Amino acid sequence: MMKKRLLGICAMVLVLGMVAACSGKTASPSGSSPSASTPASTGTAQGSTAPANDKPYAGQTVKMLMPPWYKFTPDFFEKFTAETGIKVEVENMKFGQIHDNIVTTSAAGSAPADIVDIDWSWVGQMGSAGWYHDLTDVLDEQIKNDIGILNVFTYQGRVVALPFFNDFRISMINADHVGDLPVDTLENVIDTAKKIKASGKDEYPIVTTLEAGENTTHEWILMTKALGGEVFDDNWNLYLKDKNSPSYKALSYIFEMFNSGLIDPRALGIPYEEVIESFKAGRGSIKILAGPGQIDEASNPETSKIKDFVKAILVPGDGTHHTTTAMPEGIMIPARAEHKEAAVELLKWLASSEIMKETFKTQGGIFPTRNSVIRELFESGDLPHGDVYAKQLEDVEPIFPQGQPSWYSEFSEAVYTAINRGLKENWSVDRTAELIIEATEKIEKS
Amino acid sequence: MLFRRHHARYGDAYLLIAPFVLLIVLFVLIPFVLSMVFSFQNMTLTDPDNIRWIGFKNYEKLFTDPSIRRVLGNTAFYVVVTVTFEMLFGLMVALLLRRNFRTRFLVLAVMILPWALPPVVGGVTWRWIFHPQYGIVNVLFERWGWISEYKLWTANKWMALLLVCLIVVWRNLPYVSLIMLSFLQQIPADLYESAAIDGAGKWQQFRRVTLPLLLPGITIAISMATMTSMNLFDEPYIMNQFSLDTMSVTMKNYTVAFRDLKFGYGMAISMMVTVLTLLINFSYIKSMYKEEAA
Amino acid sequence: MKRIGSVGFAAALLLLAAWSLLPVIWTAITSISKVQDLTAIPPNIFPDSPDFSSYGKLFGFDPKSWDVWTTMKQSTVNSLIGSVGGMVVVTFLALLSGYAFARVKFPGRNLVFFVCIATMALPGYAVMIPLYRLMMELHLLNTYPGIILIFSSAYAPIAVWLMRGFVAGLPREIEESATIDGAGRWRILMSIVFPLTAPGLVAVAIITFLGCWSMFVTVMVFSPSLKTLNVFISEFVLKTSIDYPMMCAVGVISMIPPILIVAFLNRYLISGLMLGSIKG
Repeated sequence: MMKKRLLGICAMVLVLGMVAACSGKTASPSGSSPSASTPASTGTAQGSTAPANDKPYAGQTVKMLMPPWYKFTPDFFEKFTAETGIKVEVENMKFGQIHDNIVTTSAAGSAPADIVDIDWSWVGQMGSAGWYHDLTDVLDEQIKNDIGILNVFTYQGRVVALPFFNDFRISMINADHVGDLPVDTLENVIDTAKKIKASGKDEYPIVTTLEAGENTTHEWILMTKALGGEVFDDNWNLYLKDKNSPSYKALSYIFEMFNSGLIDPRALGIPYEEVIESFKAGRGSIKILAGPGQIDEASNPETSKIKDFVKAILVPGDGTHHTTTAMPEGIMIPARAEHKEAAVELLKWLASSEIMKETFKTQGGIFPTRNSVIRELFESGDLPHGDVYAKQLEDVEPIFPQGQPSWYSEFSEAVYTAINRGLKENWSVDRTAELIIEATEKIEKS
Repeated sequence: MLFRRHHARYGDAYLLIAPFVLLIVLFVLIPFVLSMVFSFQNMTLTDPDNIRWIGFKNYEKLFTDPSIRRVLGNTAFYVVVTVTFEMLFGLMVALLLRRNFRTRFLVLAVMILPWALPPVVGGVTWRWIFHPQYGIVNVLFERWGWISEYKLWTANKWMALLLVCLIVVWRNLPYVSLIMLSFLQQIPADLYESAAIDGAGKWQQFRRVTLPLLLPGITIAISMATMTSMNLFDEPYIMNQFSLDTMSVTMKNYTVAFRDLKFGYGMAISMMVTVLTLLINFSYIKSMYKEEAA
Repeated sequence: MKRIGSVGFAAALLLLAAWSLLPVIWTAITSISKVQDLTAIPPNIFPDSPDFSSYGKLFGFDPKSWDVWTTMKQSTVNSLIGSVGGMVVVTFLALLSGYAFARVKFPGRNLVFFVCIATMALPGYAVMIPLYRLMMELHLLNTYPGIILIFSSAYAPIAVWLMRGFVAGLPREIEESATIDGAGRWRILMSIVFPLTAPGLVAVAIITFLGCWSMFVTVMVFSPSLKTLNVFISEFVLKTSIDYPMMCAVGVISMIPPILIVAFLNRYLISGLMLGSIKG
């Protein structure tokens, strides 16, 4: 008797559970998505009644997974939906977590979304793991030739993602502190910084982070490039072994800056996202590793004390080079995406010139990757610091011209761990370089 | 009839535990066993065509990888320091609050706050408190003349480890105290009275009355505290990012599996953590119950 | 009875309160500061002009940040549903299983108990990928039931461990006389064990609620579309800056439900755990 009752209750719970699971499914994303930046899907009623032959994917919804700095407004996708009948839903997620989600879902045989934003440094992984939908034949030649950094997003010749956010590196100064002093080469930067420090205007003129994180590696790589050098040779040997190489010089510059008190010693523990706050508050004069996003932030009238003094400058090198590199983001269609063809339509739409311009102007300042678009924006005066950007963009190179290694993250970890430790424990440049070389050789570069 | 009764009784019990066991088996045990298989393969996702069985090679790597020794050392430090202080302070707090004085409810509500604060927020706040440029610790210490200029507190390896321990102890103290408090309140007052009549002093009363009856609570508390400290991630990451100085074994597991996509090796690390945790807990429980019997 | 060292006692209490409260107060202060105040050197401990704009944005008073209010609302709902759901499921399971493990010597009892409790020692990453596959097959991704089930599987073991202790501590005579009177297992459970362990159940409910409320990685992986407050907080880390006042504002707000729960159920919590564990 009591057994029957218990069985009954268990059965009821099971049934309830299944009902809930089924209704749960329909309650999720499509209709009532809590993600706030998706009203596009509810706002467009007009697209769905058009004839079906020129809108083969009408009615489908493409899901995008993007980091928080893409601020798509509700009306942005309306035109797309009207033209194709495809609805768009954008989901924002912390950048680091996007990577982990791609890994988890792809390893489980699924996909995190129909379109996902990826970092240049993940291309090697995405490529070798085969988690991408090949875009090589999807994009026309005109677009491919127009994008300078296309090969950053290729793996063994196949296009893994559409380069979308041209986060190139450029330097910036606080013109109030620097005045007319020369900052065109790294040597001059060090001299100028010493003078600024001596004059008492600024205690730590060079602004950077040296934490145990990715951006410390970037700082070193950027300086290497600016000095006209490379990190690896074609056989993936480190140039660092050669004491006359630009990469060795870059490392020694970092140590010199730190040990001469030009960099705040506490930079060893401050994350990249915070370093800009010091600069905005008026502390610091020269930031070598910066980008359009940070320059915008530092010129923000609402939060920056130095908004009138921010100047973009070409990355200081060795006098003959101002080579910079980019840490761009691209949009990728995962291999197991549910709505691949519809996603391809959206991708092509986003790659078009007018839309790229629009994305830059109104959807979060996403710097375009098509050279023609950059030129047009410069000519129409829509590009702040336009002349410096245009000049810098003439000299952008991929970090690894040999192609993306799938083991980049291990390498980066070896570098930032060594630099952070070497500075903390007062090592010599040589000792730090040795540690980097040792750790890099241990990596299994399949 | 006796047989029917017997059988019916067990049947009921199985039904009662069925939902719980089903939940655990489906959502924890089966995925775990599946993952365990990875640990015997060289499952590196950046090399998907090459996945094959390699036996114990991943486990051998655990012994030769110097970073594993480092993170185990860090984790051991965390466990020893945090569990010791949590138990010590936890017991003191529990003793402090055992009597139902007038404002006890208020004190209890306040005491629970560290445990109620979401770890994300707590971590960020603590980092801000010790911030090398804007942190209140630097501000106050400098104002009081204890330091001459603002410091980067995580620069020194031991300082960094201790800082992480501080945050962990702050967060977990309420949990540990509450468990022990509940046991303390079980102990009937007359036991103390009879001990006092026998001539036992305060300390002896504590040893002969309090401690034995508190032992089960200490066991549970110390087990939970150990498990939490073995699995630290947020606190070391927020304070010191990926520096090897403070990296915990869970962080290493994460970088190996999710950064380098070496899932085989990552699972071997997970297995190692699980086995260690179980061993440590097992030894507590065994020694506690031995003492209780004696 | 002599009030031993009442000054010392009060001092100890104050120390405990200060130790617990200070970081929380600091969070609250940060939430009403402007970023410039925080980064001024020397930093002001309390901002000269408190700035409630972060709260304004969160509650929809700022037309420029329309999406913040929407996300805030939805995140709170999601957190509440997840945590309350987990709390209910776990408490229910713990009552049933705790009773069975404590009172019935069925074959395999100790083994099953040990194995289930031992799952608490497993790190989350160890199960993530196969579990994701499973959730995918069951269509439970991005659903409330899915997330509630995962939360439950995380907190059920400790809940069952505690409940087993509570039930074991009950005097057997009451149950035995009820059995003699002809009451079945279910009747005993509902009309005797349940009322007597109600305080213990409340303790389990609170612990589970607080645990579910603080879940982060699980939500990000298994239901990224159903954001909880914790996840929402993490979105204030932008590429080039961190919005500290906003983060702390959401943090302050997300502390309120747990505080309310603990404040109201405080007395049950204490007598619950108290009833809790003679046997452990």
